[in-house]
Amino acid sequence: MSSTSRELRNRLWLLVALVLAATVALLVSYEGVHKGAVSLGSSSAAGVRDVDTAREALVSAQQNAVTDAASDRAGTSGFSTKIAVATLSLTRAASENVTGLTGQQHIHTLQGLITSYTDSVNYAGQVPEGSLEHAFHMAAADSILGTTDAKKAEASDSTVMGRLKALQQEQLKVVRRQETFGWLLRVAWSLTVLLVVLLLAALAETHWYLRDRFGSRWNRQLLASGVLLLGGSAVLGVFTWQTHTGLFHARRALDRRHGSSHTISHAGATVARRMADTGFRAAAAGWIVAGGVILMVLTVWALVPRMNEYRLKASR
Amino acid sequence: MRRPSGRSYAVIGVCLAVLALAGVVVVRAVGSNGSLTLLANWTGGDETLFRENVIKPFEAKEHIHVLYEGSSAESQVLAADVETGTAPDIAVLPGPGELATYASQDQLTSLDGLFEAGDFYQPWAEEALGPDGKTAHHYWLPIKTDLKSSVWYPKDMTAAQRTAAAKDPASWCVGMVSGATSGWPGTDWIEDILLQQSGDKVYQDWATGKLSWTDQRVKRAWQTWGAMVGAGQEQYVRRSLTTPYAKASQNSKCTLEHQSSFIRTGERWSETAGSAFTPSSTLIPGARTDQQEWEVSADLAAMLHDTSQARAFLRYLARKDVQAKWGLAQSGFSADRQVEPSVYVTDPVTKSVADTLRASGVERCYDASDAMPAVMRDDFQLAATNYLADPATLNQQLATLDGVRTKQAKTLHWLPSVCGSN
Repeated sequence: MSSTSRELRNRLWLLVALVLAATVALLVSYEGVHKGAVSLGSSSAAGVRDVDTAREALVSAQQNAVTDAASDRAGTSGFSTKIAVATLSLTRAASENVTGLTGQQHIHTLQGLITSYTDSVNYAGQVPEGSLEHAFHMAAADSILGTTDAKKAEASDSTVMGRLKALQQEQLKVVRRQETFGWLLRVAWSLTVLLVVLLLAALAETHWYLRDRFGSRWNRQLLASGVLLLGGSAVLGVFTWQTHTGLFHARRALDRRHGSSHTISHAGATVARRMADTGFRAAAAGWIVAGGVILMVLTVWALVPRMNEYRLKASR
Repeated sequence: MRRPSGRSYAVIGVCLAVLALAGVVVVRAVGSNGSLTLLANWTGGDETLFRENVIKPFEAKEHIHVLYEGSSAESQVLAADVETGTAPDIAVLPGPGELATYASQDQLTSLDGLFEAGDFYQPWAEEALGPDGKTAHHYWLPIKTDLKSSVWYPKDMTAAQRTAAAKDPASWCVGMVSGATSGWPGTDWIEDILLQQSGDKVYQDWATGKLSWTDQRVKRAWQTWGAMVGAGQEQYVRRSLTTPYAKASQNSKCTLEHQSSFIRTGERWSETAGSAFTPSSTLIPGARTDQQEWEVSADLAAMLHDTSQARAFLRYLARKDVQAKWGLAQSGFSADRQVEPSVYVTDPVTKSVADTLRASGVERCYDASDAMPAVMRDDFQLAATNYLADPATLNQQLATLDGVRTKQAKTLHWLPSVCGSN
């Protein structure tokens, strides 16, 4: 076998290997960012908001219970509606399953505590305000609910508010993990950039080699490979940047979301806006595989005819 | 090309063997043997203690992950979990009443043979009837016990001062609030008064659903309690009804507290604060002298799903070193007679409680409300607070409670016995 034929064959294998490695690296890196984004957009953010809604509903329920008590109406429809909202929100939070089995257990416990809290308020409603029985039942309700001041609630205590805080802290940990561009992703992206640059360089070098050896000015297949690689990588880079920026702002909105139903819905709207096109961008992972296949076909198409041509020349 | 020599094959073989061994070691070290779910009522500091002293060593040794959930609304959580078919593998409950009901409903797995029941003092390892209503099995493992029927006071109080103080409702530290189980300190009082005034036979009949709530001896116990703590008197009762039990002794004016031995974990009655206890019979009007009956409590572990992980954890909890460690961590005690008494010589009060719990010839009776079916217990707690607020309603409260006992007789599962000695 002549040295030219050997060189062509070596270049072909090198390019195929680089295309393969770059495709896999790009796929893993891209998925690493977008998988977290999809989870955050589809379940984690909703789970955090559901817990917020439950907390806000319970704060309102407690306010209702106190004002109703003043007029001997404890446990009336306003209170019941708020309790229903809290319970439904927790059921939704359970279905979002942000923190796994542990979170599900926390939610079961919370639902049990809310039942006990509701019972106490209802008992208080059955006796006159100002009576000793009323004072006892409201004290019992307070001890189950805990402080309604979110800042004072201790995640370590066993009250409803403490447990809601603990549950949400766990959820926010998951959100941060989904948002964080951790060291593993940094390594993956560094490797990806390195492989893409190496592939571009190898394509350019092969192009020059073919021009020198075979006298053709442009190899259209290699040129198309280069353009596809450069353009595709740029688009995926922009998509990743957009997703990561969206994740950052969504996480910030979730971190800030305390208080009234207005701020909760505002946070929800911010997250929805920031994560709006995440699904479309995440679906681009499929393009990476298609792009890799096209690159490989173009590379083979660029080199194999030359190898055949050279083999024919050699056999004559 | 040269073929590899025999020595090369030997080296490759040794390398592969070392690699395989390393793999096995690594897999054993970091591998997992599954997980189990555990529900108990320890939260906050108690939960941390349980995780540190019990769960972590178990996980490290067995490579079984324990998913722990602590809840003060444990009763409601467990009931909901059982109803929805998502019961935990193991539940630890503060008494056998609810467990007896679950056993009768075929929700519990018998622990016969899983631990040596004979190692435990009575009544902690009593059997309960299974779903057929005829065969009795061991359905729970006692993992911590406490002594009740005691009154805590500052060590420098003389017997005469205590007797005088006991007649003044202001002397008693009472807190009825306790989250989802509010009211239990009141039931503890009434049960103990009945036990000390009428003895274990009457107590056992009542706690097992055989004696009417309207019986004069039961009524007398309620009235005695009312007189001791000033039932219906605003100046005493408002504070009691709105104070969490854990903060009852923070009232500097009170000097006596009728409470279980776990109260030593609080500041006021800790050993370092200079506290002591006396049998409640010494201060309860009409109590029989020379107290030989003591109310006791227990945390009992039961298995709802028979898995190898759950069995491993229960076997671990039954070990005498784990029993001793967990008991001491919570200032409690083990019911296992294999646990050496020497572990309780940390201070004179602890030793005294341990000696009382283990004394022969003493009748130990479960906290009656903890041994009653959950519905009866909850209504008892509510009635106790209602009575404390308005003692004029006593007859009505007792009639309501007896109505629950008689009208729901078919659905209430009572324990066959709640007292024992040996």
